[in-house]
Amino acid sequence: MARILVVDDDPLVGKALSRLLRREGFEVAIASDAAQALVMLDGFTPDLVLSDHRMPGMTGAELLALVRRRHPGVLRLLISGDAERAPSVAGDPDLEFVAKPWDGPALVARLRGMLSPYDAFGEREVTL
Amino acid sequence: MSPKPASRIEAASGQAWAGCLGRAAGSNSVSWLHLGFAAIDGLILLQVGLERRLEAAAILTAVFLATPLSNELINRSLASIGIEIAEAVRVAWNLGDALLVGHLTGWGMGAGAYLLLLIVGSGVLLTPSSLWRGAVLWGGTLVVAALDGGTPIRWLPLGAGTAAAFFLIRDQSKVIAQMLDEAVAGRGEIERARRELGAIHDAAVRQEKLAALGMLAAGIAHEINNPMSFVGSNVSLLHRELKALPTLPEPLREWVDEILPETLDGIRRVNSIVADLRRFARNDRAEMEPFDLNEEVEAALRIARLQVKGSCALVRDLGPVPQLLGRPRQISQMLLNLIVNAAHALHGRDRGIVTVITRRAGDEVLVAVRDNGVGMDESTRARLFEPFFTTKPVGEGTGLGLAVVHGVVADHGGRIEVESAPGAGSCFTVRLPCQPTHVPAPESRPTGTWRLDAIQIRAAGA
Ligand SMILES: Nc1ncnc2c1ncn2[C@@H]1O[C@H](COP(=O)(O)OP(=O)(O)OP(=O)(O)O)[C@@H](O)[C@H]1O
Ligand SMILES: [Mg+2]
Repeated sequence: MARILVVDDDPLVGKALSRLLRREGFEVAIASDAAQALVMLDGFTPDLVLSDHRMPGMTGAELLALVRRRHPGVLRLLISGDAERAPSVAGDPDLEFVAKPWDGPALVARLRGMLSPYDAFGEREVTL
Repeated sequence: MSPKPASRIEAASGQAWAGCLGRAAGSNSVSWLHLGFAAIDGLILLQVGLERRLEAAAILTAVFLATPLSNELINRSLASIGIEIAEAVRVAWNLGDALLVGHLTGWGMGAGAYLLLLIVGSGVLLTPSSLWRGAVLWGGTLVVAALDGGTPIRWLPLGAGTAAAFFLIRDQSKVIAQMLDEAVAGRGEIERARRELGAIHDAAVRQEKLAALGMLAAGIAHEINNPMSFVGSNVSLLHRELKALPTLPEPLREWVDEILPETLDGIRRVNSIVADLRRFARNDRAEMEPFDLNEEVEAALRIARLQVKGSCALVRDLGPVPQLLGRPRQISQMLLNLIVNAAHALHGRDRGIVTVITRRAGDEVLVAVRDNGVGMDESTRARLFEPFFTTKPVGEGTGLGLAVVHGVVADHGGRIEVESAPGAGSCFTVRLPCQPTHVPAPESRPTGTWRLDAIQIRAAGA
């Protein structure tokens, strides 16, 4: 079962995301900022970090750039209502991005696509 | 006075002066008649009197002439006025005359393009002013030759058989008309400059208002976006899960079939308004990429065709344009908004045409969307770009279309001009720099930075 770390400073956004993902069979943990996320990366050992962009302190893009350096095997997806594409961070050109508000089925499909080799159930079908 | 001079005076834009001195020789005395006539803007001044002494009569004439001549308009002129009672004996002069003849003092600065000559005796008089062709005193009759190239005016002598001293006048119509023209042109110039300044000021105020609204919109959009994201996610999850249940108690059926889909539709509408607000607030920090403006026009027209459904003709006139750097999705959104507005303005008119034009103009590329629809009045033009400004009925327009256009144009370092008048159609012209002068570096701070850019709004034909 793939493990996803959701990072969002708005607890209700974090809960809504994790609710959606849990129902789809993912194991989910929630961090409310980048600092907490960095700690949980070691404890929870997620396969993928799904992070909001605009947060107090370190932004999501900065956090994910750091994840890429420290945990090269962990997948990353940025979620933000601020842009049409991921904001670029120096040295991190291939950051993937999803818009907020998200579309549940599309987001799940996207995550499954990214995680397919990791997905314990090997589910590829897309629920729309 | 003969009718001729009178008619000349009338023609003189209301300004003419005349003065004369005459020798009235009675049986046992000689007196000097002085007469002044002035017509200024319909007001006629007349001064007549008899004096024993020539000097007194002359001065009275001069004073009379000086009074209307102190008119400000005339003051600007330096033509000469002087009164001579004998050769080289001047009793009065003005500044222009002083300059001309060399006197240092005068009776006032009130100058005029008037020439006063006092002639005593007879002979040929050559006036010191080039305004005159010449005057001849002959046989007791003063003939002022060819005033302004017109027919000579004959003046009858005042004193019986006596060569009268005389002078007069000049029809100032041309000079005055010219001065008036200059004054009017000057005023026109000032007026134009004032209007231009006013327009710049208005544009700056509008711009500032939009900038403030942009900040507000960005803040609101962000604040609404987060809650909407989980509200939407939760409601749609609920909907999907209820729908997936094999059996459902009857009251919940309505929720699955109607209430939740309607709720989700409402959520989508809010989201699309928020997305528009965000585009207006330009805090889209996606990076710029090269794009072909004409391709974006085609894309926008394709979508617009579906929306206007043949209610008007969509014509394109696309010139060769260089590749631009920007956010093509925003650009096509901007074009779509302009085209849809134009199509709405044509609603219910036959022969409605929306034309989209692209051109290269120096180091700019322009794209214009023109319609021959209802047009706009001044008050609409003034508020066009404000978010939520609409003249459309509730439910038909949100008033965000042009706010988004404004945001996109500003984001691309461009300008937008609007030309429109009621009944005369509208033309929105967007100018984008070929080389964007500012490519806002993607940054992580929430509020978009605003730059003053020019919005120009004109009445059509102005
Ligand atoms: N081409 C045009 N001709 C005449 N009036 C126009 C034109 N374009 C815009 N307007 C006027 O400007 C107003 C604002 O336009 P805008 O696109 O911002 O909002 P809207 O069209 O009313 O609503 P929305 O675009 O959000 O559906 C319109 O309601 C209309 O009065
Ligand atoms: Mg519109």
